[in-house]
Amino acid sequence: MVHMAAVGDEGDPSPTAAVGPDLAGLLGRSARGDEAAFAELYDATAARVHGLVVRVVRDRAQSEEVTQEAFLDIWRHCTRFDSSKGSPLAWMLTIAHRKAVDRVRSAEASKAREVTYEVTTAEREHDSTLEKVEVRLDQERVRRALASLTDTQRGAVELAYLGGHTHTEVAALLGIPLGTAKTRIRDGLIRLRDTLEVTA
Amino acid sequence: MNPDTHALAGAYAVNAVTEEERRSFELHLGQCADCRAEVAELRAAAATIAADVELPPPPALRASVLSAVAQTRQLSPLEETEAPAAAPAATPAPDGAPSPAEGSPAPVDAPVGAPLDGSAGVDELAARRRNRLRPWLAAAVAAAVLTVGGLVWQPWRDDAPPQLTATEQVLQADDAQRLELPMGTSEVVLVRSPSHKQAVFVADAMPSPPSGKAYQLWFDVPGQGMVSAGMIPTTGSAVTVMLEGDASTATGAGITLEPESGSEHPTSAPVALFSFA
Repeated sequence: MVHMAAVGDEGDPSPTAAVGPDLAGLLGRSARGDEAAFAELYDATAARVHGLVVRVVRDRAQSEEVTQEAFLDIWRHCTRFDSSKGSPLAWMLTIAHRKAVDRVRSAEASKAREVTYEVTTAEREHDSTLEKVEVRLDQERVRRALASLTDTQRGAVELAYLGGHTHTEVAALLGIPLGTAKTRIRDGLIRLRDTLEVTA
Repeated sequence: MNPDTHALAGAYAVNAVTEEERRSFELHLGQCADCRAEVAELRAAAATIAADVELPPPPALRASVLSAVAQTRQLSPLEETEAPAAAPAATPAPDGAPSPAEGSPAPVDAPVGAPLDGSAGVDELAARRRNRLRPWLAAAVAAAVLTVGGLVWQPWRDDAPPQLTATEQVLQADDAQRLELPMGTSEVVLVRSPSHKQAVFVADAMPSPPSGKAYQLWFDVPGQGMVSAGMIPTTGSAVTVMLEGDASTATGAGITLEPESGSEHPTSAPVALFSFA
């Protein structure tokens, strides 16, 4: 059983919420080559980044590589991050997600994926596959936002975002027409966006 | 805009597209401020999906990351270039079109690794959406989309070649041939890579075509004459467009004013001619 490290007081799941440590400040110092600041940044965000990566990649060894690659990219690119223009966490997670999806895809290129398994476990994984999923009060908000999606929207969005599938694959997995998967993913994300806007 | 293309914004935002789709959608993004804004917002929203999942990596990873960091050079910062923070929403393009123009020429001028992903689009975008977005989302939008002249959509851009868009690959090709011509108040540029067999047209301030007309691109193909290489989108004055057709066999390229639907053959004198010779 993995125990959660304390992650400060960051409770608000919204990407720009004032998370415990000053992520923007840490990124800024990192950009000037301050490795100690980057270490702090890592400590503050590694669980979020790695959690996302594992959800997508699944394989632990590979996930660790991807998380490392993501942090290296963050290190290299933080010189170009402008805290006045955005949320550090959303920026970092965007990098990590792309890395994770790239890894899943390239793995797939060399070996066919067990599609059936992915589908049948898609529901369960939500609750139980990770050793430890910390649920915090403020995250109720995100959960409610996700709950505002229709089942079909949520299914499509999760297969795409967490499953790392293309919309074409999502359509095949759900047995729906191509255009429908594309629409569900978009509509689902739009509803998520709008719900987060109004309920905060 | 083509609703089909637009519909891909969601899938694109969560990387649920093939490389092929990514490239073609990024070309579309270059022309479509609405899609740029939407992609950024949806990315920010998507980033919350895994908000309830935290999993600390094994402690050893920390040392590994930090040791790699110690040996990894950081990228040069972006210049605060021609994208004044004040530029945005207050000064829409005259025709009411979104004005993604700032910074557009940078991709061509810049050597590899130089500021491609400046902040012009971000400012514009953030300002444009400010009234509608909750602050966190607006900020996240800015974080998630980085644009200059519509070439770069990811928060990183100097990765291995597979991550470069088709357009970037041409612009950064070793054999890229760059041809400039004055047009209107500015310059237009054609970059051609024989090895990629492709050419990209870039303009930061394309004069508006007369009503009912549009600019059409042509390749001069030996034995065939002028062959259409596609239309220049009229969504704004800043243009980055990949020419359709094989740029390696063409001996030149041109631009004419044609009816909006395009023509089979040029029906007017060229407004620009590029010779590859």
